[in-house]
Amino acid sequence: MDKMLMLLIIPLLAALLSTLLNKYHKVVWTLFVVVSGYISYTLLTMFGNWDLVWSTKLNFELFNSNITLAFANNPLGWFFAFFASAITLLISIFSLAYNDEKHNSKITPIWFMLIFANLGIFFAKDWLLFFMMWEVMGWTSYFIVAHGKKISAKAARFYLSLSLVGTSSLLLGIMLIAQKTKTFDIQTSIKAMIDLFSTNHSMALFYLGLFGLTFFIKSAVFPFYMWPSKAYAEAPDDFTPFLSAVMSKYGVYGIALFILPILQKANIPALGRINGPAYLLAWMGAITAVLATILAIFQTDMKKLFAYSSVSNIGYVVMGLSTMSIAGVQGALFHSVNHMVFKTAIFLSLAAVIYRTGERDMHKVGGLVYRMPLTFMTYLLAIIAAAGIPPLNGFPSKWLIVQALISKRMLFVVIAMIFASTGAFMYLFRCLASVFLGQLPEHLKDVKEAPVFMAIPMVILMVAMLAIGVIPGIVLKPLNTVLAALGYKVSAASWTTLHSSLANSDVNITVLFGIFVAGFVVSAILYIISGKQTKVAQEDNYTAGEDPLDWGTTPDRFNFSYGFYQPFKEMFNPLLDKISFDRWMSAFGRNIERISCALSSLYTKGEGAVLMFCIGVVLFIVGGWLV
Amino acid sequence: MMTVLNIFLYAVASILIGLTFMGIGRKVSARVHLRYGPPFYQSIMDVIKLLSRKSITHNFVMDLGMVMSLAGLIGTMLYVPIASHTAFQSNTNIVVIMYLMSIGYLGMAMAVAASGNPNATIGVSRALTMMLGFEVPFFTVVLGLIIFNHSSSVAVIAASQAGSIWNWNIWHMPIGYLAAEIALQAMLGEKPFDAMVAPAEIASGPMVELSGKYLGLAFLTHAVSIFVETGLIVNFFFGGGANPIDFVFKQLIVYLVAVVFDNVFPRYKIEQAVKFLWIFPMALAVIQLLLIVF
Repeated sequence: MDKMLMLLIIPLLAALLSTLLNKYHKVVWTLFVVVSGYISYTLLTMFGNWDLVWSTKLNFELFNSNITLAFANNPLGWFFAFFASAITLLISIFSLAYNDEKHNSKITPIWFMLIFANLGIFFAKDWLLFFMMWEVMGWTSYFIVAHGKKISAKAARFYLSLSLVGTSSLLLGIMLIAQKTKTFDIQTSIKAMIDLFSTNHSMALFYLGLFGLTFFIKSAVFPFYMWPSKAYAEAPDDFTPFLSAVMSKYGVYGIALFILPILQKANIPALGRINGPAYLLAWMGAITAVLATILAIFQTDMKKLFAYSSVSNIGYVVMGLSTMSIAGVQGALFHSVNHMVFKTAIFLSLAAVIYRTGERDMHKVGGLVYRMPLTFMTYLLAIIAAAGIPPLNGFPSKWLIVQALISKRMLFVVIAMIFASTGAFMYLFRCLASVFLGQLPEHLKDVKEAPVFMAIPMVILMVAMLAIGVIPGIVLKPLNTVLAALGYKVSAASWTTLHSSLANSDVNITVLFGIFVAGFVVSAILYIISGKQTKVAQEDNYTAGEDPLDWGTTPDRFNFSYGFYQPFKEMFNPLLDKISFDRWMSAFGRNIERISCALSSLYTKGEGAVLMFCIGVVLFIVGGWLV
Repeated sequence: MMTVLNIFLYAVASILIGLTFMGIGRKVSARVHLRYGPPFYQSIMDVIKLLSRKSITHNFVMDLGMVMSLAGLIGTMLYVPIASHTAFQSNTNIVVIMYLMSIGYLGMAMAVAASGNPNATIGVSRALTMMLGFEVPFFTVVLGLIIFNHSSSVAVIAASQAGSIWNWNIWHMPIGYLAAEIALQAMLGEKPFDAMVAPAEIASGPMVELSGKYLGLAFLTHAVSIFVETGLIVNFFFGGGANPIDFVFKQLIVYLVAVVFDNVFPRYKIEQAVKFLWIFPMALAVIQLLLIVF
């Protein structure tokens, strides 16, 4: 049977099967692992077979030609789909342990549908399928975020309504372009758009804007930066990594697939070293990164904090794409993968913490490193990666993006990137200090390390972060093949060295790792040859032998975590009060609600109904008389 | 083999130079206060004493963090060209240096936060806030230098100023130098930007819980960070150096200027410091950047 079709059918069948077996949680979650494994394996074998197509012709006519639906293996789609499915496999192993009797979220059937939509989006050859899959992705993820809980449903509705705005604008864009080109094929429409830019500039920009709106909403680029903090926080804990790692990349994929080639080839007047729309894209990315970073610093809920962190990472990716240079696009796509890896590691370690303690607020836990050392190590390596510190995997991609931005002279965008990157350090450390360090509260004394099936994906992710960080060629080699297939003039990537467009600036990442190890050895020697240390309990030292219980308090009250960056927050409060887009949206929503209340009172309340009826009768009579 | 030996020598040399700087700094501030002051090798003696003492630890995170912090700084130091010498063949990329330095800060922050003392954690939170304050103007200045030289290699930037004293960047871009100098003051944690240590408020912040060899390692980390930070300023604005002695002498001058300022200023509150750093040095840095670009 056709490989492409099999790939799409299997998750659908699994969805059906798991609906029937949803009572037996062990069975369905095992099925989830098996199917994720199958998809990852099939995708691995599909690398390089770029002519793999499955298509069908329908009897319906639209714009005077029969509709053809087609899935095709394409380099860019494969790149995203493969890494997404590999991450899904890891998450699925984690879910196997997470969804026990108590925590079972019963979302497998919908999650299978979502995986089907996920593959569909990445492999759709025409806009109709792309749109259908986009819709399926939208509503399945809505149901998963809601997962039968009232508070989650509220967050999910917010997410869904933004999604609907996005899909409607996507539909409008698709129809307008299809009307011009008489075809739904994505590659043809890109060519048509490039032509349109030389004939009708403003019309082309408007079309592009419609698509841009959809992709911006899905990837939470400014001004839609606020939905992840709601949806990610309320989604099931083992689904949040999928939301952050995989689903935030749909918009990035859309931009890389459709908007970027148009901006590169179309005849748009240059502004500096790139063109106007690309500048706008860069600034959107910069604002997203900075604003999300500032908001992340002030969160007290760990999942909200990392939701904003995901938004800010998408900001980096958008900045990288907007340079339209090889290093920039390479850095952006590389960072997408790196973000998948380290953000999954972060969210999985937090999910393990929530699984064991049941707390999502950072200030209610503390000192968990003494009970969950493995989870702590995963989190530590992941934040080193997320802060972009060598020798872990966030560094090479961030470095590529910074170099690309500098060589395109996008100065203020680079400064924004550095701001976001340094600010990332603040929020990453906040969660580390509050959750894992400090005093262990009394009620968490008997917390245990995460179960084996949670530990396995965490260990794999740790190895992956270190491996990609030390030998970036693991991702860069396939990435360069993909870029070459897309028409970029790239040479084969090196295993170890990152190439910069600036003079004398290449960096050998493996040597960098060696240097860090050398520093570590020197420092460890000093540590070992110096005097012996004795281990004492934490409060023995700084309370000078006094027992905090004598003062009517407990040692864990000494955790400094609730107002971690209070002075900094006070500095930003006036500014954030002014520019809250969230508040503008809710004011908008309130006004809509008021108008619709007034309207509904016209036909639900007695006197209103009478009035409506009278108006109707009068109109009926007048109409009849006129005719 | 030669490289391994080189790395070891560079590490030890930078530690000794940094410690000597600290000693000289103490002597100079004593003279500013009209005291006699300790001998210039006092810091080296202090560290030897601290390392040989028995010490107290709370958990393995503290041990790991302290080792990691010194490791990060030594790794960074190996990337800084000293009068066009480096311990190994590299392009001395400035972005690498700036990111690699943060692993040292992360290690230190982790170690002291693991001690569980609230003063230490408050100190760390202030230090990270301060970092956001000085990193942005400092990077803006660096960005100007990168654009001016079309390279992000520190060695290339230093080499471009070779020849006469009038080729130094401090004459080409005095406004940028001023911004970098203020950022350096904050980087070194000298007054008025020492809110993270603030002995009178939070009992030396991060250092409050460190004893014996942990304090010794913290001293060493500070020594290497002095070496790295002054070394960057010398490479960027004072033409690197004709030979290592020339280079270290320039570093000493840069450090002593910071120490003298440290002695005459009171302390900013953390939010005042960040505001100041984002307004004045940032404005200077942006003006310099625009002058370079246009």
